[in-house]
Amino acid sequence: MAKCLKWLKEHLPTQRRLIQLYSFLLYNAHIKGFITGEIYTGNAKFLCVPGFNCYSCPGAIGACPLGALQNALASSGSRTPTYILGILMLFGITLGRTICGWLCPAGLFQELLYRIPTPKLKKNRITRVLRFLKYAILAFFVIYLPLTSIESGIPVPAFCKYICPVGTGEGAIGLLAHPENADNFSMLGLLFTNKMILFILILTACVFIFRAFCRFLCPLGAIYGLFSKVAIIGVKVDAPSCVNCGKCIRTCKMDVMRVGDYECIHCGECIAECPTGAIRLKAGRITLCQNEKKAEPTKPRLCTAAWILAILVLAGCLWFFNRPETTIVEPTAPIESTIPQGHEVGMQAPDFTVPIFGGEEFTLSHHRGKTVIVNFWATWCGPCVKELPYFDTLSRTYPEDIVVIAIHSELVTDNVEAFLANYDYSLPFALDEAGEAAKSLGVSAMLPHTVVISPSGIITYNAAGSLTYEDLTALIEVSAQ
Amino acid sequence: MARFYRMLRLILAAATIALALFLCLQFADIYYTGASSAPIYSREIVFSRLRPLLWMFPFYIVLALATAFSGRSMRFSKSGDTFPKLCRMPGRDISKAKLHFFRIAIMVCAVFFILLGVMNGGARDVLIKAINICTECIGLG
Repeated sequence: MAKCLKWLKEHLPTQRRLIQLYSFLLYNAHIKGFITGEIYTGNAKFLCVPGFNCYSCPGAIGACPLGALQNALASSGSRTPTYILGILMLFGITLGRTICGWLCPAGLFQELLYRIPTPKLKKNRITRVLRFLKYAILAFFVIYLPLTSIESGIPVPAFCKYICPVGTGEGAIGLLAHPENADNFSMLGLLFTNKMILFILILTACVFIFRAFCRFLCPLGAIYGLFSKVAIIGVKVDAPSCVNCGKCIRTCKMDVMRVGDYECIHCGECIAECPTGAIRLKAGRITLCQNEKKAEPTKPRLCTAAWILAILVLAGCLWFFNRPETTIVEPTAPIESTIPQGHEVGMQAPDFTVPIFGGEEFTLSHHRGKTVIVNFWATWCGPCVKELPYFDTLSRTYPEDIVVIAIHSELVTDNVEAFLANYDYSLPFALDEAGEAAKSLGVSAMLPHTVVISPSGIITYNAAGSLTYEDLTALIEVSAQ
Repeated sequence: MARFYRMLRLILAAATIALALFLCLQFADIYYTGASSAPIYSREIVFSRLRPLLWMFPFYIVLALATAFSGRSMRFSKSGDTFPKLCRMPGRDISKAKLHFFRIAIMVCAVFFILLGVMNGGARDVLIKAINICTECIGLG
């Protein structure tokens, strides 16, 4: 019994591990999303979380600062990205890379993987060189590529698209794992295969190398690292007490050259190692953590109060983001046909009306007898913009048999008309400001989304994902049969 | 005992690499064998390819636990390395007055930027992109 208790005492999670777990739960408090397979679409998402957490994760309640930064840079032709820069500066100056060590879910998973007892690759000259890779990734994938995509008119958040393992793990796998999203498998191709392989390789590397992604690849850590000298919260060395023994640097698993430098994640593991108690985790003048052997005994009252408050906040968030929604069932018009009305394939498409740019209106029921293709798109969605020419070619090639309408998704901030003025499209563009058309056709938050309706008004295709011209012609053939 | 533990660790490392290679090859194979027909991926295909994980993963967990268990009573000395024995960066540190100035200046800038962003629609941009899913951006395609 005593042995068991001793073992338990030795293996209890540390304060830092509990805070990491807490932040992971808090960032993903929309647990309902994992059950329904849908992401949270409430207003709280205009706030960014400090750590790396994909906003396409079904559980995410906040925006990812890196994804938001790339999207803001990709649309900076029309608007200066001051909001996200301000948020990053605020996180950087207050917490800096303490976020990496204490508040990042990606960091937590890497540390857990590193606990698998295999031989480990310790820091060496090669890892010290590789740490600069993340700055190159920041410059090229996060800043250069999104900025250059402004010219082409197709926004590309390159890091999210080609590298981000968090997006693959939380966003892609998180959504695909739900049976409701089984249709989304049809859109997977080379991009998904590459990202999955990269994801597996990064996870494997994390088993052998401590925080491999953080140290070599994470551009968010690179941004926060820029604030390391001025961040308010972090580990600080009390210069007069330091004997320059170097124990702290030797203990540290990151590629640090000094305590608290731009590679330091302020995990505080060096605090216990310091023989003179010179290292402390501080917030300004307040000491948050210090060497227990050297410190004066303090009352744990403040810590307990902070934990109680944190648990109350988490409980509040869990209730708020998972509370049952009251839905008002609107009376529907009587249906003449025997085929049930709905948004699934094989059902009668519900009627809707949307205003077209230029003053007219588009009503679905006015186009009975023709195949109708409804494309939901957005100016900020790269693949949506890329596939618009296919829809345009279709509407030009078959003007008598096919009606194509491109509907911009709800909640528009960009000037869609100004965007369209750059192109010579002949297909009608509509704006679904209230989101009614999207709702009636069962369009989820995923873009691009295409719905094909047969001449008799039956839905023959309704799915998210990019389509090629060949895909579209095949869908039209199916619809005409 | 130490030898046994080292051997188990090596086996676990090999198993980790084998598991990763298996997964990578499965995804690569699904793509290359299915590239000529559409759709390449389906729930059934992925699940059938990953079915061996049902026995591989428990085996891996057992191996990891066995390794951890056999090494629980062993203590390893931390290896010394050639890193500079410095706790503080050689060179200039920022003076306290300058540090306070920088902190306040950056914080004021940050708050100003955020307010400006809220007014120019930047916050709404972040919201829109966060509540919609760009399929290509998360690697779905």
